[in-house]
Amino acid sequence: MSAKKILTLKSRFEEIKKLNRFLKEFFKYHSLDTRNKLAIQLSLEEIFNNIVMYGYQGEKQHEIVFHFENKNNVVTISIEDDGISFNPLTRAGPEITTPLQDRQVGGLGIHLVRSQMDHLSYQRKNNKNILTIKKNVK
Amino acid sequence: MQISEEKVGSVLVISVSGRVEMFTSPRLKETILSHINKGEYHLLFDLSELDYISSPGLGVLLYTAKTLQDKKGKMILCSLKAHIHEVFKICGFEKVLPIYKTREEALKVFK
Repeated sequence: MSAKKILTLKSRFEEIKKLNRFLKEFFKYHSLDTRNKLAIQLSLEEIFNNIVMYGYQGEKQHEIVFHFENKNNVVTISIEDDGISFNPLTRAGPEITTPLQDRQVGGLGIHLVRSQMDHLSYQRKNNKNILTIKKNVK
Repeated sequence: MQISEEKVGSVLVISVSGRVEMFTSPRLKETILSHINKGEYHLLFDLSELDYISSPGLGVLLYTAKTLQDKKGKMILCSLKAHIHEVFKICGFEKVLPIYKTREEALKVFK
């Protein structure tokens, strides 16, 4: 597998299986450790599910494009979709310090992405959401 | 994902292995709720074989903890792998859910 790779998925939940198969090969090729593998896989699953659920709201024929690169021990992944405009960087995080009775059950996905990645950036360009995440895997 | 249950005294030990994500978490929730509905309010989750958990699975555990709190029950987690423990820490679960290193330690807490 070369340093740069592109994966295109349809906007339906079942496509996560293709993402997982792709990641398995990517992790193997780049010899990533368990901690980095989990952080990347979890982040991508959360991002993908969010796009399918909220970005397309049941429309299954759209394409979500993932660009992968591993350079100088930094894995960079940009995710492009033409769904509803959504900037995960400006979304308020879930309350994770309150007592159990005050906790909300949802909202953990984006928090997991923000906590596990070393860098996130977002732009809305040509009616597309472009989210770029980076993970230092050294 | 595989789920197995074992009754130890008054405690129901639920072992969850494999991957808990969007497709598997509804089955976990269904299993847990069926036990709670039968009156099992002391639950110990043995997660020693859990390899992966994403937000739907975390949501099920949080929902279970809240449900048991309403019923004056108790829920404890034990034997988490390091990378899974990290995910629980990030989500602030340590502040609301007791987590023990071994099943033995956790079972003592119910006594």
